[in-house]
Amino acid sequence: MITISNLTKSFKKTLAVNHFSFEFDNKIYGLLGPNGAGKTTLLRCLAGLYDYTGSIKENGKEISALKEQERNIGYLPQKFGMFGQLTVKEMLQYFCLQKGISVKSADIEACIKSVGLEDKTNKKISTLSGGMVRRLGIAQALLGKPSLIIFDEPTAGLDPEERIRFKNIVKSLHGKCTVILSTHIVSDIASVCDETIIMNDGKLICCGTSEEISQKAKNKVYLIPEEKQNLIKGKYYIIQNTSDETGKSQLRFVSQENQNFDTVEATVEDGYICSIKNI
Amino acid sequence: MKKLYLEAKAFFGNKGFLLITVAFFGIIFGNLLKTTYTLLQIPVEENREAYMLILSESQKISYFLFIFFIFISYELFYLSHKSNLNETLKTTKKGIRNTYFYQYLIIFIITAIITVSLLALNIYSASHFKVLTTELLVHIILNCLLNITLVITLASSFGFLLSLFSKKVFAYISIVFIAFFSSEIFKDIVSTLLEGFGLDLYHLTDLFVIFPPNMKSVPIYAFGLSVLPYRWNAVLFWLFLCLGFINLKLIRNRKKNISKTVSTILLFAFAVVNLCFYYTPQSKVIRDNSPYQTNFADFIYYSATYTGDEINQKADFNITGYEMDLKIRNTLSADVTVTIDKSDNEKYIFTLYHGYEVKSVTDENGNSMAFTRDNDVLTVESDSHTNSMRITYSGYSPRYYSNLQGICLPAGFVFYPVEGSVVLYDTENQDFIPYISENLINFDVNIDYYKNCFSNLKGTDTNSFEGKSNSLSIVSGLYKEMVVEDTRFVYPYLSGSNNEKNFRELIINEINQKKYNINGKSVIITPNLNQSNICVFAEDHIVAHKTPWGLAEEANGNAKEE
Repeated sequence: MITISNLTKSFKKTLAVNHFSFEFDNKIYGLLGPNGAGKTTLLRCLAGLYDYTGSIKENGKEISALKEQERNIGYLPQKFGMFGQLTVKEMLQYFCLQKGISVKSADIEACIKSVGLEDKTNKKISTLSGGMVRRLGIAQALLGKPSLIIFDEPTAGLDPEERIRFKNIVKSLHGKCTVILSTHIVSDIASVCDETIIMNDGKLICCGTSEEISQKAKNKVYLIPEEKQNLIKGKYYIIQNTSDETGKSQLRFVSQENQNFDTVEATVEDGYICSIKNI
Repeated sequence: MKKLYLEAKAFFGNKGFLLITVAFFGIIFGNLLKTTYTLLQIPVEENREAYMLILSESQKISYFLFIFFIFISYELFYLSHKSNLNETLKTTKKGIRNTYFYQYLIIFIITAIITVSLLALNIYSASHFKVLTTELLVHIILNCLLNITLVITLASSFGFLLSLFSKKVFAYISIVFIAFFSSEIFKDIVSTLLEGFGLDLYHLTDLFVIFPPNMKSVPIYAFGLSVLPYRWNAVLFWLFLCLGFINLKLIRNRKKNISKTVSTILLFAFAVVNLCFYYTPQSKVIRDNSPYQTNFADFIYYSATYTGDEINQKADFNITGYEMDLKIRNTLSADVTVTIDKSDNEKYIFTLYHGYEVKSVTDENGNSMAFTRDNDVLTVESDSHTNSMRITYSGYSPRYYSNLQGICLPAGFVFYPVEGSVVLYDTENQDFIPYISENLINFDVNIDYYKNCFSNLKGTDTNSFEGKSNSLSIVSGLYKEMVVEDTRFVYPYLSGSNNEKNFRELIINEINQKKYNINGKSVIITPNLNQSNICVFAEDHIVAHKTPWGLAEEANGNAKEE
């Protein structure tokens, strides 16, 4: 269990994380928020990369007091790269050695297979595509059966097939450890995460399951033909411009005010928007 | 080993860096091996000075190794940052420091290979020329450790520091600046600024002098290449400063990480200590255009202090004996008791080279005597009868060195008090005027020095000498002595021909011209330190300021003129 109490982190005059408190269990958590919300800063504090005020405890022990070798975490940052001159297998061996795992006992081949890179095992990393490198990054985060795995924008650069593969990998970790993944892609969170945390301006705005987040937008979501936009009353926020079956433009928006239109079923994304915009 | 292999492959797997590294070592060592091979072809009987040239050539590459390793270290340590790996590595159990450790290990292994190779090259060459002694072996090892191992370690620390703090453009600009300020070009610019515009920047350049000095000059065979403490202090200052900043950057959570904060403070403290030792006044042997060093210091001093009207003023007393306790470390410390033949003077005038600061003068009962110093003149006030005076002093001469690497205190140079006011320097010829006493004096000399010393006087114990002479010479360093017929020679064994029997014949012309009888006397060969005269003649010995090779040229030249 990871307990965050009153976590605050600032950079010069910018307050990136503002009195954040939360408890993480052996579940899969999604971290949502707009750019500059403080997600990456929060994850870096959890990874032990930043000094901070407040408390982060892992199984009752303050992580800032722990040495690197006393923690077992897997971490995939937003900007991630590898040594281009090493092969896929050699790179994972490198990470094994960094993590204090015996190269022989670590099942590197299984790890490579789990991310679908078995045909690239002996290829140099410089020959891999960006998506393949990110898959390898996911693989290294899983090495050593860590108790906490942090993914910061893990599906950036992955094609749809790779994103499905990633979701399956994450789902397989359910109950085994704490997984926190930060993303802009709400649909990734909806299908994978046990709980979603919404952050903005460094603060925890709300948290809950996908259904609970969706409920935030219950009876507030509308889908209307675009030409009727001028009939919208009061304040509103456009979520999406879509098209119906006939190709006609439609507008999906949320509004606190009762509109003269029928509401539609709210999604996690709608709930996220309502939370962020305080609707 | 696996980690080491992976780190090395991650870097040298890049063909660009591999090519640069191979090309660099190919050019530098190819050139060195070619020069060494050429010098090794010289017949051993003809010229063993070639060995010192090999040592010089092998140490000259120090500058190029320094620049290369700053560059390659920067790229190596920057690799994980460039590959966007730093953030991930910091969260692993071993941490980013483990990566840096193995990267440092790669540099260390390469450094060790280079050091051992150069050691082997020098030891083989010295053996080839039959000059390898334990003393020389230690000298070679110290040179390689200082100019190669320590300099590369400093370079890699610079590279590491740059990789932690700067982006590529700024790092490369910094490397260019470092290369410029530590180069001979910068020294030449400083020299031009002094000569052309009177602007003295030498004190600012001091700390950048981390490479072997005197590389543009003929080697001092009796002294070798300088491995004096100040050189180590300079390199260690920069090294500890770098390590301090590196440690500062790598500490996480400084408020709670007390031991690492303390280690950072200690590193900076070591840097300051080395800086203080560096600037302690001491005897160095640097033959550049600096107004403070061997070549020009005395000319500049005497040009400023002499009016041109100086004349010798004979004393109204004579010194009949010297009891000297000399201690030589970075400077000369002397405790000299002079016995005089007149005890009722109110004033005693002595001359002692101005570089030696007089600490105290006491009479035979231990009572303090007042004294004043005016350049080289020491005036002692006496209000009591005393047959002897004990004078303590310490200091050094920029030209006639007395330090941990060697001693060159030849006859004619006033490194001990002599009676009267003596003009020591000829500004027109830019040279000292040799002073030889008119009388024979009893000398009893003890020298506290870790190496063997040689003197014109008879040795009574290790570094203890006594005898009667009108001048005193003390030398130490890469010297040997031998007796040929009934003449004793003290000579630098790295210079000249291997055929020692030529020595006597080579200087005989010079001696014959002065009508000097060399039988039963000593000949002490001292380094050529820009002296204008070839020999200084004392009662029991002569000091020759050129190697026998140079003397032969002089003798041949004199014969042709006749």
